[in-house]
Amino acid sequence: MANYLEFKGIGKSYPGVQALRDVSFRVDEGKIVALLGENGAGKSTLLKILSGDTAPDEGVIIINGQEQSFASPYQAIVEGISVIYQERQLVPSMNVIENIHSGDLPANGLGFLKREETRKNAKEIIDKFGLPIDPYELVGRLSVAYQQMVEIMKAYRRNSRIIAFDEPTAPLTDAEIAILFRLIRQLKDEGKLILYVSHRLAEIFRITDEIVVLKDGRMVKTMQTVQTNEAELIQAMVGRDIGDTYSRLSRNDKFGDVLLEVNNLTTDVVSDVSFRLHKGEIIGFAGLVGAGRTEVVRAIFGADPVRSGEIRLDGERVSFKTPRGAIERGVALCPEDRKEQGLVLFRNITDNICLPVLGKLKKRLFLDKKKSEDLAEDAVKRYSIRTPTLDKLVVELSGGNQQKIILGRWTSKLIDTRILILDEPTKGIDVGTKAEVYQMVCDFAKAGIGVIFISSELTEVINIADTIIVMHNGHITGVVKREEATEENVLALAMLD
Amino acid sequence: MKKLLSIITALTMAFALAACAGGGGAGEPAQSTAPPASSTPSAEPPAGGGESGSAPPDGSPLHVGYWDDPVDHSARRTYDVVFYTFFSGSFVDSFYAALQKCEAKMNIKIDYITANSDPEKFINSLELLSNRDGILLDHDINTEKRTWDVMQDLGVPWIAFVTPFMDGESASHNRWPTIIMDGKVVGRQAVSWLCENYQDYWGDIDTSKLGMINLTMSTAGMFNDRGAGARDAWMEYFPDNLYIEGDTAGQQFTTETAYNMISAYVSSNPDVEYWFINTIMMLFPVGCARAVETLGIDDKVLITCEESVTAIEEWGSGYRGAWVAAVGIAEELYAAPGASGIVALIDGRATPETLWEDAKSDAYGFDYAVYPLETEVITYDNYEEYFESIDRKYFA
Amino acid sequence: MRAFAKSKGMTLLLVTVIVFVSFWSANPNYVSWDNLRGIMYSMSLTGTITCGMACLMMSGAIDLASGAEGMMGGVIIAYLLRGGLAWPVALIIALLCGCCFGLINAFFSNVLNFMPFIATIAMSSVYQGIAGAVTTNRPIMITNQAFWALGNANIWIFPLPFVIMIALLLIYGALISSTKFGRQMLYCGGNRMAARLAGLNCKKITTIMFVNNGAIAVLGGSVLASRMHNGSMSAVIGAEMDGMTAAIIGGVSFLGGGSSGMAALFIGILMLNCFKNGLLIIKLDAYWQIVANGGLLIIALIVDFIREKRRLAALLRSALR
Repeated sequence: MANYLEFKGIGKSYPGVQALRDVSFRVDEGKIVALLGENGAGKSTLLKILSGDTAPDEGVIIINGQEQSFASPYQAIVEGISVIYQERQLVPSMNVIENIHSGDLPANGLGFLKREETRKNAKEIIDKFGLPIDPYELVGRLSVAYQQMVEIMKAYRRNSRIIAFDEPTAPLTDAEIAILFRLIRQLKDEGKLILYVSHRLAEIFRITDEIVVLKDGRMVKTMQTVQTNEAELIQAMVGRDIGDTYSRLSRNDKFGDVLLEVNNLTTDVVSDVSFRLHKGEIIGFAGLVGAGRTEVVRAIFGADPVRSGEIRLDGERVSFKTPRGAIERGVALCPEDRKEQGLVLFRNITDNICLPVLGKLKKRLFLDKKKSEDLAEDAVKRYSIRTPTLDKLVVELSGGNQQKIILGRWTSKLIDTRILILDEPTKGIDVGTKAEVYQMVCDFAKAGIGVIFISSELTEVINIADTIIVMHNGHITGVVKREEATEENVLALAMLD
Repeated sequence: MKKLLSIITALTMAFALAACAGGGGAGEPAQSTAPPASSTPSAEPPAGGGESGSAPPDGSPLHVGYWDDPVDHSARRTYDVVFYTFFSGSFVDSFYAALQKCEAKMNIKIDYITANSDPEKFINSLELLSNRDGILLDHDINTEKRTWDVMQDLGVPWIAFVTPFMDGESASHNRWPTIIMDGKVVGRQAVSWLCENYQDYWGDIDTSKLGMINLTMSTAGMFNDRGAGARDAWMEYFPDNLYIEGDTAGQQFTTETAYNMISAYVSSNPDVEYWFINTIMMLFPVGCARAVETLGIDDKVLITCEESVTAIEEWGSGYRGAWVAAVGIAEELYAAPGASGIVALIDGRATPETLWEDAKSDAYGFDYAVYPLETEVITYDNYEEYFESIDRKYFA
Repeated sequence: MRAFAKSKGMTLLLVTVIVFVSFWSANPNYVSWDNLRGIMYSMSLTGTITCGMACLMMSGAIDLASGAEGMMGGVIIAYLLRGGLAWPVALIIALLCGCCFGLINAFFSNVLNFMPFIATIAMSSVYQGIAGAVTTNRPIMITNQAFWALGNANIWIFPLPFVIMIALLLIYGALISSTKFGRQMLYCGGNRMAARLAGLNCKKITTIMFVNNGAIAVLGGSVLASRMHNGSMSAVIGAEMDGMTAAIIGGVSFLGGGSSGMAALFIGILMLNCFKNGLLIIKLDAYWQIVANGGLLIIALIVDFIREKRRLAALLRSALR
């Protein structure tokens, strides 16, 4: 009876977001199955459920006909599941042999190690995979690629039946990828069940047998790799009903002068980035995770150092050493990680909204309470922030309301924001609030603010931005105007090398 | 509203702190508010008048303020004296116990207040003592200036007890009557004793083979005077012999430090056959004794110390080794002159400038007295008798 | 053997030899047997305490109250002996107290999830306060002559405290390098998350090491009390700092994991003590001694850094990924 892994009706939701909905598919023995989907489609969530890190709200995992549920990651491992994440779960100060054994070393009755046996175990596995690794080498000294292979050998030694990879090729060179794939094929030949999560189409075609496409938390299609092509996959990943959300938006159609000019910006992560932002224009930055979009805006904002290139504000060359400088010139950044970098979670709404303008709210030695509250109330009304009082701690609000507070902070009456940079503003927000946020952004544009909008949701970027700049691997691969943009051509640019 | 509340809270806290600091401490307001008994303000003994006690036999002022002051203390009311200290702990407790023994003869009632090493409390509670008859003050040098200012304004007779008040600039002039153990004197006493009595232990030896190790703590300020005194004495008796200054600065002040140092010094100077070891602090000689035992030279070393607490314990347990001597200090030696001195000041028969006239010395600037404690070197043969004799001398 | 030549131990051995030879030429009595024994004695306390601390640090925790625990050991045993107990009984009771100290630390660290660094610093003050209050700042004499043997006897030509230290280093060295428990302990210290995923119970392991550290600290304090014939509230305090210095020089990481070289540890302690002793012998001024001791530490670290530059960079890179 062959091994198989089946996901049946898996559903999982987080506050405000349905991450997975009724996902069902099957992985058979000796097959490499790709899990494909754009950002936010639900791939990571599914892996978390598989590894035992979290439990599904609905549905079950079935292994070889038996339903399984895991109380902890360790239990999943015991059941024969190994998930190889991007962060290493190794001990850098110990050698390869010991890391492969992950603490489960053969010992005699008194507890003394059986060294020869231990060494043989490890050597067997290393040789089986034909890897040029010295068993006594400290794992910390190995390159990332080989560390990953140690993780694979660790999984192998545990006799894991199911091995899942989460974006394994991100830090690897081509040569290393070749070795990795050879390893994976060997695992397949041994009858392991392999789940390969990625959004790199080229690799998927190289190594996988079947493809499962997730979109918006649902499983939309499965097909045999050989029977499909790139275009079909992209279509499956992104094709969707746009609905009325975007058509109802009231947009700005008049642009003003050039507000921001970026020429040949190069930092540690991005290279040679150039673009222009006009008053009232919305520029959308599209691309896959890791393309470098956040790094570009961080450099503009003064949060990261610039290696070369120039930034001009109103024609005047500027260089912000710290965000403070940028804020004073009217540049505002709403970071991707709301909770950690955007809000002061344990203060109330008023405090959070008034944060950048506290200086202006002083009355002699104290803070002018009335003024601050007025400011906050104004923001709450304007943006329909749903809260009974201004005193509520922001940590208690929903993601959508939290985002509105951040937006409200930068656009309150006392502040003169001229460039608003939004990094993944609708992450973790429900559809209804998203629509509100979209309208807010368009309103800002109407008021003459230049907006830079980073998003990994293609639909969003295409429909909100006036100009779409697509990035990949740290450089710009294309610029598309709104009228000409389609999800397919933008996605193609996003995957372009 | 919140703003108002927070201001009120802050003010309340400030008041509370001020109130606590002012009224705290173990003290109670003194019962007696009557001015001191009538007395002549001059330092000269009254010519038959004033006190109902008789004048000293030869009429000299030299006995004023000393224990054997022949004045009749019982002919007046009981003075209310406070022993006011910065520190607390077992040493201070023993001083107090000794002071209490003096109450009977001196007709005083001694109270004990400590600030428990809290500078603010020390200064603030000091100001509340203005209605006492007299103060025996053991202060902390870190707050000396403030303490001095308070005492000058307080208007109560007082004596500096155990810690002297030195003037600011040269720190060599004592500026108030003081009872302290003069480290230099004591250090000198300890080593001189060794230099004069070693033959009792070794017979006549070839003194060219004699060396000295002096364990000091140069970071300890005046405490280190003991080491200086010890060195001076050695230099007088054996100027040409090996002298090692074992400065323990930067190390822990424990027995182990002494052990390591002695071990290193002795083993690196094998041509020295006989050793004197002086230690200024009571934990050191323990380490020294152990070290010389391990090195097997117990019979060729003489150890002494300027403190006797640990010596007495070792000797009491039967130890008879290289650690032969220590400077015997009984708290009574401080307490007796303290009690008699403060009585003289309260009586008015002495002023701060004239108290213990013959105890002024060049070493301390010659303006105010530094009472010479009658310390003696004790050994394991005579230490019990020494303490008994002190008791007999003062309190029999 | 080849591995040792490349290792940290080699650096330290080189430095130690240099130190030794320099002082020898300055004063030939440096190598007199009496002085060498003196060095062995001075090593024994630090070495014992360091042994327990190193093991604890390897498993991912730290105990900055080790010195205070040793001190309490000395005081406790002094009182027990004064109360008339036979010395083996007193020693066992004291060791049990040491285990309790370890349990207290483990409780704070594992149950209440305090940072061990902070919790043990606090406990150090607590123990010193208790000892001060009980002993009223006077050392407690030990008159039980049979007990004196613990600190003063000789095994052949070597002092017993030194032999105890060597024995502990050998035993724990073997434990760490050759037993399953030892390797698991290192695993927990090296990457706690990975260890949990591998099913190891890190809390249980660190609890065991805390208890172990407490007992060893008390053992060290008792041996010292036996040598000095008294239990004092100021003894042993600060030994944990010397211990940590020696441990870090010897390659044990502050953050857990690290090399398991007890040999390197030993050589580190040897180096530090030979140096300290040598400075005394050449009668260097006390303040310059302080500078020199610090300077030696810096030199050892620099030499080590130069040798390990590449390795450190690689470790950092993989840690940041």
